[in-house]
Amino acid sequence: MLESPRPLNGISLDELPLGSQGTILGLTVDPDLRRQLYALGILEGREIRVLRRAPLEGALLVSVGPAQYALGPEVAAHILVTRG
Amino acid sequence: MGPTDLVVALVGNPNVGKSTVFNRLTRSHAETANYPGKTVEVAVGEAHARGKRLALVDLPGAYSLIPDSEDQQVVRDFLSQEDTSAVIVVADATNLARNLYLVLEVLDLGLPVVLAANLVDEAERRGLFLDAHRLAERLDVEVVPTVATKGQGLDGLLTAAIRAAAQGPLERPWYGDAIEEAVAAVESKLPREAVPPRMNLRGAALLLLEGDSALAAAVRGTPLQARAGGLAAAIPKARHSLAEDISRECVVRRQAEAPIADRLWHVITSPTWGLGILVGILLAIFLFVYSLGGFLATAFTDAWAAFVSPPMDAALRALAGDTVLARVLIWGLDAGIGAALAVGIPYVFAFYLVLAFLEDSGYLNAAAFLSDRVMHRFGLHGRAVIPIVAGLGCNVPAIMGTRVLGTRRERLIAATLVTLVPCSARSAVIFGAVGFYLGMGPALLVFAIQLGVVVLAGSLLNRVVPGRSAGLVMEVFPLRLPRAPDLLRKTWWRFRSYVTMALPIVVAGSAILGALFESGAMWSLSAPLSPVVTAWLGLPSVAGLALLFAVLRKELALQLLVALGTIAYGGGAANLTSFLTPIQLVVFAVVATIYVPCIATVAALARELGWRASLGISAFTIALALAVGGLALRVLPFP
Repeated sequence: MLESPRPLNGISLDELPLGSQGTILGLTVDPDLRRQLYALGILEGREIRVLRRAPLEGALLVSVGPAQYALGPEVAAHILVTRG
Repeated sequence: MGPTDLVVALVGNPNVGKSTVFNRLTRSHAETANYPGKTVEVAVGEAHARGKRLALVDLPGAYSLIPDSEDQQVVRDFLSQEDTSAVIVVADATNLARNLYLVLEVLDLGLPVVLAANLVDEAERRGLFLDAHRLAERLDVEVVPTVATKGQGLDGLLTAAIRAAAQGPLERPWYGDAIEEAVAAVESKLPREAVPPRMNLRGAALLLLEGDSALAAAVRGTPLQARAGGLAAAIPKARHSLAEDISRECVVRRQAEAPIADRLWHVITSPTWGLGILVGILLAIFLFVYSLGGFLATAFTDAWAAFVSPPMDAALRALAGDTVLARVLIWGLDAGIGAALAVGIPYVFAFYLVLAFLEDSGYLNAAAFLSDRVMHRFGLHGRAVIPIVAGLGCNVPAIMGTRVLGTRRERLIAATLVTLVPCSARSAVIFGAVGFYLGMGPALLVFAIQLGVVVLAGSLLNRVVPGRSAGLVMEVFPLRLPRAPDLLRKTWWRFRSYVTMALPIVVAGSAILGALFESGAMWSLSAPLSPVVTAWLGLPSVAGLALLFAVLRKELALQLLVALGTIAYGGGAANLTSFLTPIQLVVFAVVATIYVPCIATVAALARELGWRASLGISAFTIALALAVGGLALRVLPFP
């Protein structure tokens, strides 16, 4: 996955507290994964809310609009969002 | 299917009720067919409207026309290569904005579209009210609100499709000056050969600019290569923006209660209870299939022995006399089909029913969410839990189910683990050899050993198999109670494929077995096998022969054991403990469960992953079976 400098007020999705919402700032992932996320509407500027975390620091359950998605922890770590 | 007037494709996001729409429109006149060149099965059915015959094609669910897996590739290939008269896009009215993304992509391909806005009842429960007329105006396509589960609104779909096909493509979406200029520029330079036969230039240009790999490959070496992926972020954003815009205009939102299903969902995925519930459900599946399957299996075997075997044997003997040929035919047809029915019908059918319920209720996606982390150990992700669980019924469709996994590495690892998952046939051997004679405890021990083997193999494969695995990205659906007709239809189609695949192999395999047996050629293999069978595994040579030939059909292992035992040791061999000690029964069951799956599975592996992978996986499981079997002999405290 690609690394890029973090904006000062951005955190990764897996650092967002459960139940809170943030705005997506960027996706530092490879092109294929980015395309997959885009097709689902997970893009820069969208609101994303973290609902649950699976046991053992596992996947995250998030909501974007009316839909809910399960994102693997390594995917969530590369989605940058504004704090809370 | 004979000649038809129109070909109508059904597309849509996963789990929007597309298959329900398809089932309702085609009533019972549907078949599954292999889409040419691929191993994905597509349902094709016939419908009638306005005096015309329509061929309806139910394509796999997809979020976008740039595919993430093999089954999504089928959607893309169909729309870009086949002569489609019209496309019915089934959309989920509860999430119109995201569903419109696909609609816009199909419109970009210049295909006539009808929009079935499904789940409007669900949407209304959530306080969302769709203005279908407004939507039809904005998109310039016919919009038909439907509730497919209740059959509402479906009559209009076919006539709308006929109208759309007659009118041809209309408005194209507009993504803003910047993007449209780029698209026009690319369109003018695109060589016709680079574009698939039924794709229009606009669609191809958009795909190229979005970074689609097929189009990028097609223009390699031309000046257009530089443009590939140039608007990979801009186009999806513009499309989503347009979709959101339209959706905001056409859907009125009012507050509403959170439906019960969402609350149930909270319990199912809770960090404290979720995993426990998952394990509980897996155990419940196990018990259900074991008890219901076992009951039906016994009933079938008894009925077969009482009503079919005697007349069949008599007829065969009448035809061929009391010859080797007659006996071989009896092996093939009587024992063979009987075996297939004794395991196939009860266990596989029961399992497929359960699997369909888990899929359609949305529970399997919850299971994938919960188990994703655990799967990482094996280089897999939550999605793999679905084919692996399916392997408990029969490995063959489970291996085909690995198609939804994104990378080859994941498909290889998942397919290998599927072959190690005990299918119904192998479970039947465990129950029949160990459960029956030694009790439930030892039988569960064998299953536990199996689980250990799967975990071990997975960790090993994770270290050794090259390539990359993609992260979990999966939509999670609210829990729904599936409709019985849809469940039964899905189960029936899968079961029918299983039977048509398994039955010929079983009959042929049993006949070969019979020939080797009756001619006495089988015994000549005992000597070469004995270093492995007797010295390493501690089994009598008849058990070795049974294991060898069980590769044809695993459940034959037990019957063969009895048959060979009877010849070697006399009539009492029907009771396996008369010539096998408890430890031998356990080792036999362990080896039978681990080593190469039946030839149907080897063939399925070859179809999905190629012959080299298939043979490699088979060799791996044989080595594993021998290692674990020999270890079990020396370590387990059975007499």
